[in-house]
Amino acid sequence: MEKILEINNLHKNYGKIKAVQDLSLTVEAGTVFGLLGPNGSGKTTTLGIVLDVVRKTKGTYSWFGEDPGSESRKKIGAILEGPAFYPYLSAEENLKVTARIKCVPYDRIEKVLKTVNLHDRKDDKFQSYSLGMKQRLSIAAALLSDPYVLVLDEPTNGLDPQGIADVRELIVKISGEGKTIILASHLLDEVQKVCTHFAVLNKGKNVYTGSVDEALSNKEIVEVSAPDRERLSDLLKECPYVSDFTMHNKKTMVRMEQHKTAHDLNAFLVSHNLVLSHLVTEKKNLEEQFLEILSQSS
Amino acid sequence: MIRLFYIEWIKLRKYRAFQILTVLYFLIVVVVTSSGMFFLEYLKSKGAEFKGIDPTILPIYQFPYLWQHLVFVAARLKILLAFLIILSITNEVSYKTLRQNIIDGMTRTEFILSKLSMVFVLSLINTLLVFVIGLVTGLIYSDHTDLAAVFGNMDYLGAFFLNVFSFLVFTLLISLIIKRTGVVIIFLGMYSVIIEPIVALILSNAPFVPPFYAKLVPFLPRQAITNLLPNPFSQYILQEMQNYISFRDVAIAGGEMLLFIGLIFLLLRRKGNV
Repeated sequence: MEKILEINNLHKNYGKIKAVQDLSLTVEAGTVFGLLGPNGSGKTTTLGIVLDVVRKTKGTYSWFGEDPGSESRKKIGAILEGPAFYPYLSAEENLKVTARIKCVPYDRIEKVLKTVNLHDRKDDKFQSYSLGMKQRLSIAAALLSDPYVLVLDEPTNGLDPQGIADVRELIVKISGEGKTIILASHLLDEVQKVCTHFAVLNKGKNVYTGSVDEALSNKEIVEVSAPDRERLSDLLKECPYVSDFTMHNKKTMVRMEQHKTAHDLNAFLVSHNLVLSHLVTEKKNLEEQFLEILSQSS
Repeated sequence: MIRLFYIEWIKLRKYRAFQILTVLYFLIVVVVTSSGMFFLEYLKSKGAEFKGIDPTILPIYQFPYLWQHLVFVAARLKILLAFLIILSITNEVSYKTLRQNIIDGMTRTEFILSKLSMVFVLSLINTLLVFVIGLVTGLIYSDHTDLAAVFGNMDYLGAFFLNVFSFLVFTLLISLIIKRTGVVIIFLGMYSVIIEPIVALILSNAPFVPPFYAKLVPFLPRQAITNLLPNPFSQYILQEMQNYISFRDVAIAGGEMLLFIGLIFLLLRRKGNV
């Protein structure tokens, strides 16, 4: 697969603070890549470096396999830390500035404004826009050069639920057109909904990289209970499909081995003459995975 | 280069402060520089006189002396253009559009060149405007309209261009360093009126400073820019002035202008500065 972005051993120090440490990652063409991590984990710094507005301390990166520079930036559509436009200019005038910088003809402006649903308001000043509209305009600006890759930093930050839904729908739509998207977020739910791959940053380190499907199929968690708690405990210890488990007051949380499900567990227990009174497969989500990765990494 | 100027033009053309400041500036330049005779008539009606001479016979609109009068007066007014340059830089920083421009694919060099191209064009328009006002007022009032007189002293227009351009470049540099509109304006005001005069005074007069340092005074930025255009009106009171553009002054101001441009590039080349 074609590599869109490759980062090798990137470091960034702010004085004594190590914002990014030895970070390496690869984003391949056609993926929606989520950059996850708590606030202050180095997501924006990393994106700032690869977009050439933050000076790296050490390390290398390349876009499209080329040395980075203004020409490669023209092929990227990116927003860093929120929309940045001239407030006294209309949406259309603002996009004219972007179009001139990216050497793109003006007729693209009409097209991208329609894509983000701002065409009716194109003559209104940017300062009169709601946050959601501003966010959509920045996506329009990012789309202007019909780029190979979009870099979006917290694109739903500060939006109301409708705004969040609009932006997410837009991201899914854009990725459906075959564009690669790099999305930084601390919202796991968001990454789960729109991303195909993700990396987790913690304290400036890349602590996990993988596909979302894989992460979700990993180690299913099953909640069980049975009248005979001791026997349940014994059998769970014996069962080869169980990775580990914790017993709470009424319920027992069981983490399954890879590719084993509630079905396997139930079959095992029944074959050993234990009938469960409660069996629920935990709704799969990234949150748990994420917290686990973070706790392991620190 | 035209693309870079055009980018700056799109950014500014619909900006109300830009529209007001440029129109106001050029209007003031036209009004002030072409109303000299009316001003002298007014002085006369108030009974003012210069060493016993009727003020209306002062040769302010006589070719070729007219040029040094016009450029000196016009140069006093350039502060309005400086506001414009300050806003055009500090806005880019506070709106984070400088950063976005670079993310979008501008190089830092291109960004500076687009700002400098606007400074250049404004200075050029300014100079052309003064040239046209000079021709018009001169043809109305001047007794000599032979070519040699009309186009004599054209070097004053060149010096005027350098005066405006280097002042605006200096403003650009300070704006990029300080980045906050209000602070830049206060600093530039204090620098011109207080800081540099005090430094000049210390360098030239303080007992503890070796006499050599007095030679540095003409190199102070404000001084270097001002020295380009000697005050022609002082001759009507003191009857003594530098009646030419000195090559030395042009070299100092021109050299410093290049130095400021170099510093601007150096400042923005440092990544992380956006």
